[in-house]
Amino acid sequence: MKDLFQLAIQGVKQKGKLTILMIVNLVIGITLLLTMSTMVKLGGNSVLTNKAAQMHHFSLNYMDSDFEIRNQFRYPPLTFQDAQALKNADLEYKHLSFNYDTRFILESELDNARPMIATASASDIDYFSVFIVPFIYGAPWLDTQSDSDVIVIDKKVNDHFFSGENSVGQFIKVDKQSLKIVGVMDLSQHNRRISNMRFSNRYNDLAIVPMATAERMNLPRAGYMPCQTKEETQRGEYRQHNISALKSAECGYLHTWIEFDQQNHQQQLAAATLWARNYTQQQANLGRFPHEEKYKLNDLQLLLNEFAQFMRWEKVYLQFSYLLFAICLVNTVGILLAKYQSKNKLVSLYRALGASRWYIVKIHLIEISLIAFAAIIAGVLFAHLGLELMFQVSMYQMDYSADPSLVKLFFSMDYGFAFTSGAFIYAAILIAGLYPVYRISGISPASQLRG
Amino acid sequence: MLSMQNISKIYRTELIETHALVDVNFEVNEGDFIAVTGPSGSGKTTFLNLTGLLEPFDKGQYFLDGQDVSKLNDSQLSKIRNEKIGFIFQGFNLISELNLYDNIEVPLIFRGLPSHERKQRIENALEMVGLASRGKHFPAQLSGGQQQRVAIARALAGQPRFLLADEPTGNLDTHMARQVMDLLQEINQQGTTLLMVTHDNELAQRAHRNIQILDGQLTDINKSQLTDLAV
Repeated sequence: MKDLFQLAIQGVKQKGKLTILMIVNLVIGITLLLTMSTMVKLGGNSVLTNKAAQMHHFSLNYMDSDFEIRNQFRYPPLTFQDAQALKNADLEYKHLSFNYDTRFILESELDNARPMIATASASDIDYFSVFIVPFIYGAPWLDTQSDSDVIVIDKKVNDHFFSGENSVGQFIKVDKQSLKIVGVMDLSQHNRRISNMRFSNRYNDLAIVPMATAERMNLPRAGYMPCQTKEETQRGEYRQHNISALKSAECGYLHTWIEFDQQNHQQQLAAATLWARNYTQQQANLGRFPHEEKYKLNDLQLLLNEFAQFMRWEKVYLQFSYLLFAICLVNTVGILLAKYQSKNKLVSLYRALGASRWYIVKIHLIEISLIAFAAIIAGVLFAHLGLELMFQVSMYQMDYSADPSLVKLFFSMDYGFAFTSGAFIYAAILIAGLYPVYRISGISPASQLRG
Repeated sequence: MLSMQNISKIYRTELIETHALVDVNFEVNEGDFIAVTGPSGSGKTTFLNLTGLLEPFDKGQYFLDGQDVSKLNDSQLSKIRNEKIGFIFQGFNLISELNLYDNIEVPLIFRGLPSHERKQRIENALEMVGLASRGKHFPAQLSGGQQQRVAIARALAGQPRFLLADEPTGNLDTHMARQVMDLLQEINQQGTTLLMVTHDNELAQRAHRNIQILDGQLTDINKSQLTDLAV
């Protein structure tokens, strides 16, 4: 085998310029293919994928009859009254969680770090289970602390204010009011903010506070909050100040996620759907829910698939990169044929000296493998640069108003994926090389040795 | 050791059939030194190629060490070429990118010999052709005569049953040609069978037996006839 490798390496060196041309040609194709396919693959990734079929966003359409739902991500959140009704319903599920989007200023108790604006959520305790929030220190607040001045902060906040030390038990100011830290979560692998239905990759939660605490502190409702026309003038007030009025208004602000047991998923979903139908029907008799489609339970998988549709340009580029790679493979065949044309005499000599046709095939398959391997390694390295370039372009498109570490998740090399892709690319190059190898191995021992 | 019976070889194109060899009957014994002469296009090289299993024949039987080679597949023929036959070409056919040592090693690699045995054989072969100190040199650094001696060393390293030489001195001046022929003669005297195609009657006279090919047919001739038949 070692000898075969030596002969193959000699083959790589022969007509070195053609070998380099072939590698460059392949590297261009592999770089584009890996860059685009990694982006599309990472764009569709979610840490919640495994249970996406069991998770549903629960929406009731209380809006005026002329209200149009623009897409699957714009179904109204629940009003407080509807949320209460759902909470009190006799339904079976694994978790039911309500949250709203908020924003506040975080400050150190000791003034030892500059304040920071935090995108955050006000939620119940089920939120942590539904969204599989990993903790590096502490844990979510206890049931008994649901109205206490407690907070869960993200690792980034912990790094900023506490230099990464365990800050559980310490205090942090939220809009000038001190809250006790009960846990430090790490959302670094949560590439999209799903809880508020934005699926944004710009910012994720930097903190989570109990819903009751947020209401008591009057933390603003910063997310999607559609109101009926009659309430429209009050919307600013509801967002910033008047939570008690909001609770009785026809304004939805509570994003609701219901997770069913894997085993009884279908039955539990059917029961929840039936409840939604009956509830909205009953409310319709009182003059609410004028729309034909009164409720919607979208599962997360459907939403993830739907969101993937927004990546249409990336997918078009991916198709182009497949096409370019195919062209590169055709070029590879041409370059190999040219390279082997000049090797006819050598192969004829090998055959005369006792190399069988199969031996010639083996030498050249190893030669192509070595070239493919070099091209794939270089392709992966250049794909790193390609992803970095696309990351910079993406940040520019967002006017740099995004958390770079979160955006980076979509432009990082996924080595498992790169390895699998590399294996397919290797196989494709090897298959492309079969014809030139077949041609060169068919040279007769006597054909080129005269003179 | 080598026996051909009614061997024929025809080259076919769309328009014409060329009978390169016609009903050739030929025997070679162990230790023979046979020179094959004939005018250009008479079929000398075809005959040598068939003998060396470099080309298939169309008709007849060919026994090598008692084995009917017409029934062998590519892999078996390659093995025989590698183990029993040594080739010496007019144009040397050395690999310019490899040094002398590596050039000689190529057929030994195909045979799958372990590296220590290959090394021993290469050193012996270089010693035999008087180039022991030049193993690291490249072909371009040698004269034509030296390159042909390397080609002979490559053939000898495999310890073949017989050597096939196609115009081994065709590209050399008289002095070098004589040196190469001296070497081949010495190798033959040590027991290796030698079949040589040549245009040079002076060199052909060194052989034990002379054969002439004319229009694809073989004829044994006396040495005295060589001058008359000179091309």
